Order: sequence, then structure tokens, then C-alpha cells
Amino acid sequence: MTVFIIRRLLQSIALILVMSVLVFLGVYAIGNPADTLIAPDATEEERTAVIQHFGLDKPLYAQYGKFLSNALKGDMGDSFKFNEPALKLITERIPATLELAFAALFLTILIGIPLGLVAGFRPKAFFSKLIMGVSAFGFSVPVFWLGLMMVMVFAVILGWLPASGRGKTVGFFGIPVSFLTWDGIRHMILPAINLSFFKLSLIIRLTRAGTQEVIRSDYVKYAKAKGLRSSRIVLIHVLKNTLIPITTVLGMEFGRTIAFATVTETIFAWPGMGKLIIDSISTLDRPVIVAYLMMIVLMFIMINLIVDIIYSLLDPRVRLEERA
Amino acid sequence: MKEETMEHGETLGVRGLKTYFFTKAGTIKAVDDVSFSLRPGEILGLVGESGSGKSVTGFSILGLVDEPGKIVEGEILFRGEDLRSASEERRRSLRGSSIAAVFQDPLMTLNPVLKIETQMIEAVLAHSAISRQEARRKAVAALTKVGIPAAEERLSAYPHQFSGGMRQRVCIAIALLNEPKLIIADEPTTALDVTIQAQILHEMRSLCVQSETSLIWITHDLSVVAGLVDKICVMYAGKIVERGSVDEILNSPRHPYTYGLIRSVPSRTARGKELYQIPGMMPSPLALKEGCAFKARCARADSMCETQPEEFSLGEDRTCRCFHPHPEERQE
Amino acid sequence: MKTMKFKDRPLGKALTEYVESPMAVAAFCVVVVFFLAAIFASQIAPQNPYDLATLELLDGTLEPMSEGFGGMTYLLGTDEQGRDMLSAILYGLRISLSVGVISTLLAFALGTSLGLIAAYKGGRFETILMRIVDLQLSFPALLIALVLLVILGQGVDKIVLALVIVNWAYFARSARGNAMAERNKEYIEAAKALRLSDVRIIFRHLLPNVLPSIIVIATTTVARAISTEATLSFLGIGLPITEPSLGLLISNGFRYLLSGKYWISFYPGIALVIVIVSLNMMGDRLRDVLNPRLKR
Repeated sequence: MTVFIIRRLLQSIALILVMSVLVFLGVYAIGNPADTLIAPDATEEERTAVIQHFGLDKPLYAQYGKFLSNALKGDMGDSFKFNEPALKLITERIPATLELAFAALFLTILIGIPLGLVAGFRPKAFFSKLIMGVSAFGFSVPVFWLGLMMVMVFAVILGWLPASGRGKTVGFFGIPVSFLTWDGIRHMILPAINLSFFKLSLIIRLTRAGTQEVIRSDYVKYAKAKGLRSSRIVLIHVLKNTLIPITTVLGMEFGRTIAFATVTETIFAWPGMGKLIIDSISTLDRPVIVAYLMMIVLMFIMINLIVDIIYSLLDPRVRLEERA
Repeated sequence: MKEETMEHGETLGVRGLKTYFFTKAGTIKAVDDVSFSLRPGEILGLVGESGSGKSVTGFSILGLVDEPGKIVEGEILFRGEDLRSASEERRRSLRGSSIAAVFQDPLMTLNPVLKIETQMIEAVLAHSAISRQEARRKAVAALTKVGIPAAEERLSAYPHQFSGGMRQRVCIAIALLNEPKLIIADEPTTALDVTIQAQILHEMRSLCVQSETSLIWITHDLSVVAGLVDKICVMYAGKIVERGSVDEILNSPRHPYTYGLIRSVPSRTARGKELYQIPGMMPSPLALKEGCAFKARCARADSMCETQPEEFSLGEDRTCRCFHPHPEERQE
Repeated sequence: MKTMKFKDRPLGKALTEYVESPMAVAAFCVVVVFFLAAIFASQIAPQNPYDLATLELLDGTLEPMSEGFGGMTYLLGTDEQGRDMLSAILYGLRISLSVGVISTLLAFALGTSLGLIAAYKGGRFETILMRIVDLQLSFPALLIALVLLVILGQGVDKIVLALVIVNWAYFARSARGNAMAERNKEYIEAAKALRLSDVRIIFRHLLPNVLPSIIVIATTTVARAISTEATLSFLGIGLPITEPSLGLLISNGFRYLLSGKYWISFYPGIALVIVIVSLNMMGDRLRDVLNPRLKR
């Protein structure tokens, strides 16, 4: 098991390095790094300082070296707009985005899996067809339009929930979180649902398909032959086998959720990474963009690693094969 | 057909069982008027090729026929109790306790992601309100009984960590856990190699004889049943075409199909002679025509066979569904 | 030799089966109607929303079905500059659809070719190409588009390019997957034995057999391209204001949503959703119809 983890860890580190090269090339080689890192209104002194700091007058590979060593120190340039280190700006906002993403994940699991199970067990029932219809809809419709509709219906017309912003935050191991306050939860409901909608549709479909497949399998037939109660068959036999591929999908989708958070955060004015990056792209605040890209890449690769590990924990066949 | 009266103490009585599958392509009469009975400790071999309806018969008795299949007619009496009119809850409580099942490929029937321990204990706890430790002890005892060494440790293993023969023994152990009165085994040794097969057959027989458990052994392989069963029912296209004791059938097959089956098994005494083969294939269940289902492949068929033959009695508990059975062969 | 009737040929069979579902037919009709509306936008629209001279500023933010100062009835209301929403939607539809379709056609050409060549040639080329495809597909499309736009800058051509880069991978993977099943078949061997050129084999022999599932992918890709472009435009990093697609219209109307003037965002949104959902339904139906054939 440890061998497995170490191997995956090394693979991940290699991948991060590769991606850093790609980002570096994209920014430094294709774009003009001077434009990328020096604010348009910088003075001559500031220009020289930055050029030295990032080694822009040196050959490409040396620049990459500087880039990497700076990045490891957490230095990716200062934001043009805020005049603060770009990385700091990003990391400040990560909790907000992650909180939203986890809330969306939570909703997806809580609602999606039971609905998928129901639709899988009784595919011909009206309720199941309704679920499938709505999920097909949720699958195709652009996330931002859904968000707009939600704002329109729940905030403007019905006035139940706030349309924007993050609620009151409270310190949780030093990180500001908002789900511990009622105000925070109120503000989180709409954006979390919005963000989870796409994944919800996917999970419902997958759970349903998985359930249907598992129901027909021999071991479910055998479980019935042993005289097990249906509840046990569903909860233990069917669920465990269906969950395995679903977990992988959820993990991969989590990364996509963080990316899509950009849209939700824009609509609901949620102060996360996503909103920052959109603003930065519009204002061409390039150091922030570079820092964001690196952070996202890092998160992605880490998520993949964690998903792989969880998968091996769930499926004993994988685990034991590694040992052999 | 000779009316079989229900004897007192009969374990299983199946009368006129008809299980049909209603598909978009047509109605498949998988089991079409099947009857037999079993006494305690008796072993029946239900023999036929794939598509003959033997497995569906087994599932019908267990009450596990899924959509689009349905038992349309017939009686299934288990120790005097009518299974068809019993509630689903009653049937569930019988399954795995009084009526146990062993299926063909344990790699498919055992849940790959659960430990053997889990799968055995749940089989016990579904039918008795005893403690987990008690259930565990029972599981260990059952595994030891079927000849699995170091049963205590093996419990924590997963199915794929066992060899094929061991896995099937685990399934047999599971079947025996709750002291069943009837075991239905559907091709349990088909996926194993010959030596293991022989062992398991022998062990099953002694277990059943010891505990007076009735056993239905469903198979396509006649050579397998020779040393195991007491009586045989041969099925073809959903009907029983011949029945009798194991000696009667193997030594003197009367129905042309049975005759062909037996003569096509290689044997030492027939060395050098050409191996007999039944020409043709079983007709598709959707394309069954009037009359005897075997007539297209039968050398003895004539115009009489355009009507469906009944099961004609040839002796006590001996029938043959044919207008032109082979003559009886006397064996010394 | 008697030629087969149309409905017995593969294409005929597929189409006959397709029309068995009323929903699918409805979806197809909707798509056709929307495409025609987009093509003939300038003829149908009551107003040219980008000709400033025709706009009546005093008619700003009027509700749907209200009459303006110039005597014009605005069926779907107006935006803050007095633009007729219906006209704006028609013109916006034109842009959204053309960006979607053109980028998909290019992605189709690029992705399918590469996929087929990879399957046919095999070896290192195939492995490397598939690695790239897998890597790209493991990142969300939106993110890739974001990154590309940062690097490339803004403009219609850049958006189309970004969409092509995002979507080619789906075509490549599908084309290669299907071609893999075909490449070992005898008709390919026969073609090779006849010394036909590789290009000819790939495009005249492999391609037609791979086409059915590619068509399914193309349909859903158009839907996805339209959706992605709308999202990007909504976020403000998509098409420039001179080419207002539906996404931009929606984004423009967003701020009025909170004060109850929903129509500026709502109707363009509805139009967008109808097109996307219809295209997806068509794709789903096509997949059901074409796939069992492939399994044979």
C-alpha cells in the first residue's frame, strides 16, 4: 500500500513539474514576460527591479530556474491592481471557494445518490422518469443560466434567500468559514445548489446505471437466494459496488467544480478564487493569473492523487494486486 | 402421466410447473409442464443442455424468476407448504435457511468487495437472532466441514484470494449454514477441473445422505451425475422427456434424446467405435412448433410425432415422453 | 443488381428509426427553426439592433408587449438603450450559432483526422497523441478555454480557436477508438493489398465506418461549444462587445435582474437553453439509433 502511495506521489510531482514548464512557456515564451510581470504604469526603477528579480534578461532556461525557485518560495509577482503578492491574494480566497465546492459535493452526495438508487431500482416508475428528465435537463443547460434563474426566482420573486455575497464568517482552526453561522448558510444555499446541479445530474445518471447493472449481477441474485432482506441487499451489496466508480467520478468532478466555481462566484458575488480570476483576466492582472493557474494545476493533481488512494481503499482487488 | 400422490414426508413436490418469459420478441415457454418430487435425503439429477429450462426450474422453486418471466401455472409444495401462494416475506425466510442454493461460478456469485466472513455471517443473521460471535462460530464450523483448512484465518479473506475449488466449497458451506432441507445446485462444478469436481460430488453426496437433505443437481453433464444422484429427470425444450432411477436411465435410455446423450459420452468399452452425435441443435424457444420438440433431430420420428407426446409410463417412477422409445436393454 | 430501397440502407434505417421518437423529431424541428431564424435574422427582425440610428433611447427598459414612442410594439421588451430584445436575440443567435458550428466543424476536421491517423499508423504517434488527449480531457473545458484566452487575447477568431482546441480531443478520442476496432478488419487489409495510398484508405474506407458515432459527438459538441462561448461571454472574457452573442446579452441584462427587469436576460437565456437542449436531445437520440448498429 505504501509503495502504491509513494509511486503515485512521485508521478504527481513529475506531472506538476511538467505543468509548471507549460505554464512558464505559455507566459514567458509566448507572451511577453515583461508585460506579464511589470505593471504598465511602473517607473523605470521598478522595471529594472522586476527584471532583475525574475531574471528576465537572462536566457530562457535560467528564467525557468528563477521562476521555479521563486514559485517555491511563494513569490509569483505582485498584483498590478492590488499591489500585493499574487499568491497571497489567491490563497486568501481559497477557503471561500473550497467551502462552496465542498458544500456542492455534499449536496450532490446527499441528493444525487439516493435519487439515482431509486431511479435504478424502479426505472419504469413515474418518479424515476421525472428524475431522469430533470437531470437530463440539468446536464445540458449552461450553469450560469441556471444561476440566473435561481436568483430570479428565489431572490427577486420569492425573496427567500439572498442573491449575493458570503454570509458571516467564523474562525475554524484559523480559517474563516461561513457554514457555521446561519447567515452564512443562508448565503451559501443558492450558490451551492447552482454549483452542484451539473454534478448532480451526472451522479444521478451514473448511480442509476450502476444500480441497474449491479441488480442484474449474479451476486445480487445469490444474495437473494441466501434469503437476505432487501434493505441489506441494497445498502451493503448494491451500494458498495456502485459506489466505487462513483467515487472516482466524484473526485474527478471535484476539480471541475472548482473550475466552474468561477461562474457561480461571478453570479452570486461570492468572494472566492473564481471571481478573482475573472476580474484579473478582464483587467489583465497577469501575475494573479499565473499564480491562479499554478494553484489550480496543483490542486488538480493533488485531487487526482487523493482519488486514486481512496479508490484503492474501497476496492480490495486493486489494493491486493499492488502488493502482489 | 401417472398421477404422483404426495407421500407423507415428501420434501418437495412440483406439479405441472409452467414458467413463461413474456418478451417483445414473443413468449418463451422456458418451463412447460414439469413435475417431480423428492423425499428427504434423495438426490435428483436434472439434466439437459442449455436452453432446456433446467435452470429456470431451479429458479422457479426458489422464487427468483425475474421480469419478464413469470410462473403461470403449477404447484410447488415444500414439505406440504404451497410456495406459490406464500407471501414474499415467507419465501425470503425459507431461502437460505430451509431451501439453499449453490450456483455455477462462485467468482460471480460471491460479492468481490466483501469479505467471506461478512457474506457468511449475514447468511446466518438473516434467519436467526443470534449474536455475531455465535454466527461466526457457525461459519468456521461450516468451512471446516467442507474441508477448508485454517478456517478461522480464511474468513477474513476476499473471494478472489481463494482458488476455484475452494471458492465453491465456501458456497457449499454457506448453503449448509442453516441446515437446509433442500439444496438446489445449478451447475456447481462446471467451472472446476475434473479432479476437484469428483471430490466435491463425493462430499456433497455424503453430506446429504448424513443429514437427510434433499438435493437437486442441475447439470448438462451426464457423466457427472452417474456417481451422485439417485434419480434423473432429462429435460428438453422445457419439458421432461424421460425420468427414472440413475441405473435405469444410464443403462437403458429409452427416449431418443437420452439415448443420444448417453451414446455420445466417450467410454472405455466403446473404444474404437465412432462417437455418436445427435444431429442438429435444440430449436429456438421462440420457434417451437406443434408436436414433439425433438422430432427434427430424431431418426425415429414419423407422422405420429406431429402431436405432442405425453409422458408415457414405463414402470414405477419411470416415464418417457415419446411415441417410439428405444427398446429396453438388459444389462448383466 | 437491384439497388436497395432507401429505407433499407443504413442511412435510411437510421433515419427511419430516428423519427420514431416524437421528442427527437420535435427537437430537430426546433433546431431547424432556430437555425433558419439566425440565417434570416436581418430579414425577420423588426429592427436592426446595432444601427444606432434606429434606436429610440426613450424606449429604454420597456416591458415585453409594450408600445414605444415610435409606435413599435416590442414583443420581448427592450434593453437600457431601447434595443428591441427580439431583434437582439435574433442577431445574437446568429453569432452564437455560427461560432458554435464553425468551431465544431474545425474541431471535427482536426480531431477526426488526427484520431484516424493515430489509429491507422499506431506506434509512438498514437501513444503520444492519446496521452495528450487524455491529459487534456482530464482538465475541465472551461479552464482550458480560460487559459487559452489569457494567452491568445480576445476576439472572435481567438474564441473560435480556443473552442477548437478545447473540443478536438473529444473527436480524436472517439475517432481513434472506433478506428481501432476497424483497422484490423479484412476490408482494410484488402485495401492495403491493393496498394491504395494511406490517405485514400483512411478517408475513403476507415472514415465512413467511423462516421456514425462521430456525428453523435458532433451534435453534442455544437451544443457544448455554444454553451461554453455563452459562458465565457457572460463572464466578460468571451466575444467582444462588437459581436454580441446571446451570452453577452444575458450578461448585459444581469444587473437589471435584481431590480425586476428580467426580460433583458431572461429571453436571450431561454433562446440559448432551447437551442442547447434541443441539440443535446438530437444527439441522444442519434446515439441510441446509431450505436446498436456499431455493436454488430
